[in-house]
Amino acid sequence: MSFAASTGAEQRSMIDVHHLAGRIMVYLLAFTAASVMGFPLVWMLICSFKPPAELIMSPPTFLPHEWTLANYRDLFVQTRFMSYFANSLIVASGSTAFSLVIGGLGAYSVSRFNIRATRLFSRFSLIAYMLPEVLLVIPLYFFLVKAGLADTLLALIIANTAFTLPLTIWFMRAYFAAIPVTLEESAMIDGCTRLQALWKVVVPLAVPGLISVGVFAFNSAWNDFLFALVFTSSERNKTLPLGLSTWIGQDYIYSWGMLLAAAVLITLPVLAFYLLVQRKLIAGLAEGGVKGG
Amino acid sequence: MISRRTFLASTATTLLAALLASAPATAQERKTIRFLHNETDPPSIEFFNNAIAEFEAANPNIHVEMETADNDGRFQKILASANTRTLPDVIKVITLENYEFVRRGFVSPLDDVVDSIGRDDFVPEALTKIDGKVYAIPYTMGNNSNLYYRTDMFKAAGLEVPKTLDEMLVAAQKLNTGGNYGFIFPASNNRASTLFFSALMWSNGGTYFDKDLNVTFDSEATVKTLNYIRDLAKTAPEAIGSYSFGDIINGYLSGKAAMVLALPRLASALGANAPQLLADTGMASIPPGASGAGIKMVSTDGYAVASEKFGGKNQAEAKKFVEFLMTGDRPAKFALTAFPHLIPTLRSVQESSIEQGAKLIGGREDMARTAFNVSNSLDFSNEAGARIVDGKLEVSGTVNPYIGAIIARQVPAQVVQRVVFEGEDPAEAAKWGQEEMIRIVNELKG
Repeated sequence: MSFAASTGAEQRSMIDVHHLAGRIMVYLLAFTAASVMGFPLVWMLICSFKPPAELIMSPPTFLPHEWTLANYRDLFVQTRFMSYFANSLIVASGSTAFSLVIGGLGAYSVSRFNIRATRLFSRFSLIAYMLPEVLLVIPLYFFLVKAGLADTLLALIIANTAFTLPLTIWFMRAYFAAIPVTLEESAMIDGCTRLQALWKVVVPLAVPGLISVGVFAFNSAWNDFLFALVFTSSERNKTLPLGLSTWIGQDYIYSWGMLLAAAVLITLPVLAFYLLVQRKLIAGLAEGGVKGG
Repeated sequence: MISRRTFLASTATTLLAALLASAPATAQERKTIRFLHNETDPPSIEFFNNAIAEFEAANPNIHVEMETADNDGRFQKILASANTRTLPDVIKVITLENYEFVRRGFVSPLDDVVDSIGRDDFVPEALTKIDGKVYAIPYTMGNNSNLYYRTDMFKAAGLEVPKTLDEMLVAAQKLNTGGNYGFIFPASNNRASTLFFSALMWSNGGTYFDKDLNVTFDSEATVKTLNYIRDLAKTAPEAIGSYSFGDIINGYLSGKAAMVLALPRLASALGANAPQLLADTGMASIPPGASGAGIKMVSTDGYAVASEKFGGKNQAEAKKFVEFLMTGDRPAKFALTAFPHLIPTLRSVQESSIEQGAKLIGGREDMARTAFNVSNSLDFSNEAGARIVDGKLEVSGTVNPYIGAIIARQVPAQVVQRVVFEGEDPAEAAKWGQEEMIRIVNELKG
């Protein structure tokens, strides 16, 4: 082999080694991050199958000596878990749907009708988003009581929608702005109304963005505690975070096993949802980041 | 194949139906009373559901809507509801907050209900009068000062059950070995820490206020107590700075602690989760301190009725429901939902609940009797000017309107943290606490 050829081979070999080392480093970091973030979830799952006496053992056992479904059984028999779950699903789904429809239409208007009023509105909605939830809860409660909506799931849907709308509008505005107007104009020339052009042309292109804000709105409403605490009072309208908190806030947790079982069941739908939409979600977040404002 | 339009329409219809079903029950021809509490153990919830069903069957014109929250959530809901004058008709209150509720007119006097139930049957320590009237019907007491100790560890070390606080410290130091902690207690910036400190301070002869409502925190008793806690902390886990009630219980259940001062909740937890550990556990009242008496921290929970002005529209029905909960076999049944943690406030109920409840804690009637012994006890609202005379507690009768704010701002807990974690001299910390309390009192006086 000539000197030049051997030097080139060495250089390629060094590049390959660097590349491999880089990939190993990335995978190691990813594994570490996943372990740190994932271990509590795995621990939660494993412990939900342990009997009460084993949960308080010191030193703790990793895998259960005795696997049991008693915690799940007690959760359904002794509490209104299914009622809380259904209420949370209704509130989260409702506020997500409202956020997408109202926020989507609002974002479309702001992006397409570039007049002073819409510009002011979009800035104002962002400022409104900066207000912390705890400042809004009492005034909102006054309003809901006067409207006769106290202790209803509709009150929670309205509150959660109001809380997520500003970010929905701001995020989708950037998304819609990046979609060429000419596409809608072509559709309107072919006989579509503006709404038909929005539905048939713009929305299919904006699906990744809609999924991103949908996931955010769902997550926010699913985990909401403060609005549920103040706006609802009866057992039949309680949501999951509030239902679980009644056990945590006592001087002693009645059953760690039931609490862990509940935590697993609360996490599963959100995890499944994320897994279903992860491709579109990543695309939506990435494209939202580069689309112009 | 369902079209997208049909799918969306049917989903929207389902949601709407669910929303309408969640609308609050209308009064129709029945009066609805709302009942807010934080007794959320599933057995307690079951008790209330059954009691409500019984009450409604006996009173077909009254519907009871139960609302539950955790303790902090309950207090927040009361404040939020009071702001809109929509308080639930019956609310659970603790003695310390009730003074403020009375001052603001949130609740109605209930002397007629007390007399219907039987005034003489109430444990004297349970009934609190504010301006000469009773504003909450006490339904349970919480004895925070039970000494749980590992009989097997004591026997192995050749130690006797501590008869004084000093003996308790010595025992903790000797048992702080072999991977075990001599004592576990809360030293966090929260109520648990304040209760622990207060019982020790009172047992050493100190009080927060005198009978004329002057702050007396900076005292020999306080400094002695802070020195004591600083030494005791050396036998405890390092994490006590974040411990609350549940952590003390869990710490003892782990089998690594020789002693704790805790609620009777620990006894019921031992019965339910660790029967082997229960067999190796003894229970006694808090040992006497420098005052010659062991003063227990006993808090009282009560049912209050919201005033008309703040949303209590059905006064008569609400009082009827409260009386119903406190009569018949219901007080005893309620006590059994977390035995012996929920101490009945009626003397006629206490003995029968001990007999029935002992089997829930492995037959340990001794534990139940110790927990139920609330003699020589103080709460924050009545501690002003309390004295120990010949080993017995004498209260001054002064109800303290200022202490609620001091406890809510965790001043005693902060004093403990300054000594235990920041190394401050106990005398300086006591002085700081005194100045802080005086400042708060002056703020309240305006």
